[in-house]
Amino acid sequence: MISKEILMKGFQKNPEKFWKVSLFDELGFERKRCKNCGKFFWSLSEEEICGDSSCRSYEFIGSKIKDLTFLETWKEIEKFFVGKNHHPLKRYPVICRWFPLYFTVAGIVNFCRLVDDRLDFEFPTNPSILAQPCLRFNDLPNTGLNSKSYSCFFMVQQTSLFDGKEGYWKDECINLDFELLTKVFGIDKEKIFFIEDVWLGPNAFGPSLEFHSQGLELGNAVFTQFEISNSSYGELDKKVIDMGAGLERFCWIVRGSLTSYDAVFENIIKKIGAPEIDDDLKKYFKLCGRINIDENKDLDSALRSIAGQINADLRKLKQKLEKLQAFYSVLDHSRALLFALADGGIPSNVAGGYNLRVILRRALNFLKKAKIELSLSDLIFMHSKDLKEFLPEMDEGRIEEILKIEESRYLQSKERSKRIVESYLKEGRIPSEEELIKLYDSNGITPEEFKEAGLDIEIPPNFYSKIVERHMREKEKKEEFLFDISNLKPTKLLFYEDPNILKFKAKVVKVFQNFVVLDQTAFYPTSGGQLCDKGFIDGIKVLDVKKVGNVVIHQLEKPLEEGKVVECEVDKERREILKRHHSATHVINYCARKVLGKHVWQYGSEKDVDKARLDITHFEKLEEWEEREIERLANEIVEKDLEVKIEFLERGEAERKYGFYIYQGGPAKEKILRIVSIGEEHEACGGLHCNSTKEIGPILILKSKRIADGIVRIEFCSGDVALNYLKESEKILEEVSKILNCKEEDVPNAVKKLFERWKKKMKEVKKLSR
Amino acid sequence: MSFEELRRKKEILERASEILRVEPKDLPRVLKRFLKEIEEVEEKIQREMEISKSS
Repeated sequence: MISKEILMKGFQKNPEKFWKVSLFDELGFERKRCKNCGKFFWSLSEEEICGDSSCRSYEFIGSKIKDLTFLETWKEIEKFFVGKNHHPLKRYPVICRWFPLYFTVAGIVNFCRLVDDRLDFEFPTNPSILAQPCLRFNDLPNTGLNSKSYSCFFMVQQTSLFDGKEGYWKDECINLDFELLTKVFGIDKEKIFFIEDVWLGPNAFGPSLEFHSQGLELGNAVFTQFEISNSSYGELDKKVIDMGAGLERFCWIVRGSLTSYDAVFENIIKKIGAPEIDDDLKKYFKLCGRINIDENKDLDSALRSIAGQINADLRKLKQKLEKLQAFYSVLDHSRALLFALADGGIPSNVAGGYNLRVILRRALNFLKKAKIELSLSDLIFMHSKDLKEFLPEMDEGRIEEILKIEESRYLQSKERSKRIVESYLKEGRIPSEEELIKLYDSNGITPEEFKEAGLDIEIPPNFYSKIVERHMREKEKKEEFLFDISNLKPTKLLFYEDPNILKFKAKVVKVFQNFVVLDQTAFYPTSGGQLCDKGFIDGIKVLDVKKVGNVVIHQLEKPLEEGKVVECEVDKERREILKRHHSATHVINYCARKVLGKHVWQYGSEKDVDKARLDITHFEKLEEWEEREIERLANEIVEKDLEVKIEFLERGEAERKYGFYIYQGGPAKEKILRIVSIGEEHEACGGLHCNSTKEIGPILILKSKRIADGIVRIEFCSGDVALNYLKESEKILEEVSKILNCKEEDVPNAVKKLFERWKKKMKEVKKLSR
Repeated sequence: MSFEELRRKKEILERASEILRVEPKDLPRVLKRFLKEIEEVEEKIQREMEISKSS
């Protein structure tokens, strides 16, 4: 098993080979070992301490190099790289739709794709540069405290794919970064330290050089050089330069302001007024780089050491910092919410929405604590004005609506929390850490609420990191099969070659009890929410069909012999209904987005024969008119008789042509995508569909309900299933009107009257029996 | 009958079922039960009244 430690030891046997770049030779950089932290670094300075914040204070505070705003800092970087033949790219969404992560946590994630279950890089251009807003929620306790942590930060992403001909490798990368630091930003070359490190990904690794200056890590150039396959490794044919730098840190170091937040949020701070900062705090912020709650665990001991060094009273320092952390954190959290909501994220209690709710509620609390007399949406839209060019298609109205709903939900839950907290107070019980996490998870009660209510509790320093990490990664559901199919050839899929094949012959290649594998099949296995085909194989009923890897497994009522050639028949009627329901699902998804907004995304779906369901991300239950409008639009599309087009596209091309909306069913694991297009709706989909929308037949929404916070389920059916459903309703209504002896349209009234009469009679009979 | 017309009937039925918080398919059965129970109660009341009159 390769670990970072093993790699480090291995590379350090030959540091010149892995880390030394031509610049070091040309300018005479020397390799030293930091006397403080023990890390190896390269520098021109004679100092024996590296440039990391754990080894130095923020030495640049107070010395301004240039007066650049946050945006101007980016413009300088972009201009420099574009001048060096890099293609500028637009930012990607912060909600990650193309890779199994909830959020874009780093610039390189933009180019991460899966091939089966392996990580693969796909670059739209080479080399490239972009500023990518990233969301990370594992550093929340440090935000506002150590001046470098953010829940939303912009990563400057410099990328090059090097195959010996195109792109560039280590020497050129470090040349460029050094030139950027020294020439563009005027940082003294003696003050630049390159620290040796390694990077280890799921199936690749390589050396990396972090560049630091005056106590601040500015960037990290990762050289993805080796790949791991089947526990051995080799050099990649195409190596990757992945340099990620913090734009906030560049802006801060050139301005030399007291905190990075003062530099980055300068405009907003000017408008809302800067917080009071006394001498103790000024001294604190020079040293605060060493605050890392996750590593230190105990914030108190880190603060005590700083307080001792600056001769400040620890209790008073903590009090002052609490207010200041609230001030800086709400500026950060509101920017994170801006990007998340603009990109279709919804605060909820499921998946990534959970993390958004955490920061939204933290932001609301901080707003109060920092005594900022603005609403959260005011603050969010202040950011959006400053960052307009990163937010071309923002729907302000929708964002405001979501914030309003979330805020009122929070107030309601606070009332509930108050009662729970009071019960703890009454009993004098102190909740344990596990209890605190549980109370937060199920009731949304923050540990701060206990503290504010007067309960003497210590808030675990990494409390928010712990709960956020629980919800951070998508859990991959893997289809499990009890039998070994690893030696079997992939099943030939006849339904893709010709979807009209319903009768076919096939050879039984493997039998496990009642499970049968054929050399080829026209039985569509359950996948992408479409339930499987049924029918007969050699006269035996097919009960279930699933795909495990590339092999299709048919579960039969009775076993079959291996090697036998069998006659197979797919149940045509079932197939037709499933096809209609699948195409209708795409149509409904499109219409829901049209009616409700771009935040609507498929969360899950199932296409059965009696009905289909589509679960979408939406913050409220559907109003009746919204349901009706979705249905009306869907039937309009049916009536238009649009062609259902199927095309195979290379993944990057599909993304460029149709955007990330194609990943409604989740990130794709293939390099070539099967794109199903119905009018303006394009989805990567492996399902079986009608040829045109008219074949879907009338679409009927049966009902919709909120199945979880932020998730709405729409149940519907189409074609004959819809007509039969309606006819059945008609029959029942007819029967009811006969029972009540009234006209059909008067049935609800008559039911009401009868109900009242029944209740009255029941009361009377109760009186009688007394 | 058009889809729209059938849809309208479905809505009427749903509105009626919602009053009693039952599934549409159960509505006829529930209504019949109500009518039967009302009838039974009325008979009972009637009987009680007759008994009280005669005594």
